[in-house]
Amino acid sequence: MKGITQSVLFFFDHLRRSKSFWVTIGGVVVMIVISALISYSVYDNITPGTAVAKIQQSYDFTLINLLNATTQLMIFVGLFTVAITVNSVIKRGVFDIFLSFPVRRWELLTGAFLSGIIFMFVVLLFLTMGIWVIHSSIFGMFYGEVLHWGLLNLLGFVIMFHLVIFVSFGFRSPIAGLLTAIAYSVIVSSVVFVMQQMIQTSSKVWLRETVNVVYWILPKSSEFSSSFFMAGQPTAEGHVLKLIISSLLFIFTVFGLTIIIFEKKDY
Amino acid sequence: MSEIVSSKKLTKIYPGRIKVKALEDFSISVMPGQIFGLLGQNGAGKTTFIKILLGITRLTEGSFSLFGSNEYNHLLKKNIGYLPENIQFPEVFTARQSLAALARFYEMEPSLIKKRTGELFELLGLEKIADRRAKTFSKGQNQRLGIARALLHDPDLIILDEPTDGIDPVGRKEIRTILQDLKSKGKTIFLNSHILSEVEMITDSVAILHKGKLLRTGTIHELTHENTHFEIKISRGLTLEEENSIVYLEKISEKLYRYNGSEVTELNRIIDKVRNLEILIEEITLRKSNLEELFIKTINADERVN
Repeated sequence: MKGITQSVLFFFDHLRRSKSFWVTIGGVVVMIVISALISYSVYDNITPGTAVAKIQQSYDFTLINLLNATTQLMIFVGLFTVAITVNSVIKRGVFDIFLSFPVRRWELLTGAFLSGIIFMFVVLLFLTMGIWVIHSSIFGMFYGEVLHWGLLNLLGFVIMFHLVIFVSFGFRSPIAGLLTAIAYSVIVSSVVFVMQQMIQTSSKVWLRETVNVVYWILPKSSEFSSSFFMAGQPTAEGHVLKLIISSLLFIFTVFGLTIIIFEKKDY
Repeated sequence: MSEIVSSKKLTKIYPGRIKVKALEDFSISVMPGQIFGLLGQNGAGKTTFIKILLGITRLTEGSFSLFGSNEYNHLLKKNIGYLPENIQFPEVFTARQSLAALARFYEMEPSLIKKRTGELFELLGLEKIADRRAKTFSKGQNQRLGIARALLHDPDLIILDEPTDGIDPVGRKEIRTILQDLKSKGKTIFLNSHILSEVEMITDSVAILHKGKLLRTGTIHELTHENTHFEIKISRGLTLEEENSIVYLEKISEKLYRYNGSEVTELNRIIDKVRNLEILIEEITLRKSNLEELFIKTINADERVN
């Protein structure tokens, strides 16, 4: 465990000194400012005497859309930032130093993974809370029902980041890892999600079953990355929990595989 | 006293479509307090051996031990300082920050890191550039920083892969002095190098590795003295009868003879015999091969055999 802590602290130290870290922090501030301007503009357009229920509807709608757009954007910025850090460590000449440390390889890997998740958690927390506090202050009402959906956004990031870690450490190519993660989230996950929705009414049972199996095996990156959108949608009971569990199973499996490859690989 | 590093019939084959045998039945031992040099051309398997010791690469067959332990344990690396070939540092850090960040893995106290960093920067002439980013460093400066990192946690075993690569002659001399100073403090130094003149100056023992195979090993004295001989230049050539009367003397040319040995008593006996023949001795030269000659001879001999 000591090795994991040392690894996390190192990656944080590295992260906070990189330019992309400050770009991410700057991005959070810019997002909060833009969101504040939009919130103010929406509130300013509400005619005096509008019913509170209508105002609350406008409050919810604006908040969900603001959070959805900004967190999705920041997930990609954050992913880029942590991928740069991983790249800096695994390049030739630097990686040999890391592998000569008195820590186990899996501890090094877990430290890199956890530091990225913690970093993104903090980024999303500040972004979400910043937008919520300002938006609520402008509207003069504080409803936090949708905020817990933000945790699913973090899961969307974890799904992408574990692919970056898998390709970066397993095959020593962070750029390929970043591209894989983005391609998975933007193309594969979205396509499978849309197919799964469309196919439910199909008369071909084998097709429906096949798509369902694929859907439930693969992690649901596109759903989680737009979880604030989901916050405004009605969902079947237990559906979100099933999404989370199936995605976590996939992440643990791939992360376990990454550790096995990383432990056995010659560098 | 047990060996600090040893290997027995160590073999490494890199898998792939074309399997590469990087090391074959490689056996050496390094005693504590020694400076040991592993010599070989590029691709001989020197770096592979170091990487196996550090767990960066896995062995295929055979065994090795570190600090007398046959069981590989990552904690053994706490006591090893390593300078990899073509070392680089994370770009975001200055030299000082780099060492501080990497020292975390050795559980060093911040005050100790500060003290050691200051001492090493002064020792390696890096104090003026300590707060510059390592990515702006020249190859030599980078190499010095790499040596500082290897020594930071005051390890007992220091493994240096081409330590003087990219360093100017003055810097090389400084590094030699540092290594000799470390040896005097009881540290063991294992170095890979192809700068043979330097290795000869500082190492106690060497091993010559060629295409993964160990060709020679021994102390510098043993290896360089095995071809020691004296050349004796005399005023006139010896007759066949005279030649037969002086055993151990081998003719090189008309007036030049060779005594294949390093025994001074025997040499004096030969001199006496030559002088008794009323022949003047014009010159006596001690010829001994240096490490470079030995290395080239050994490699060439192996190439001819294989």
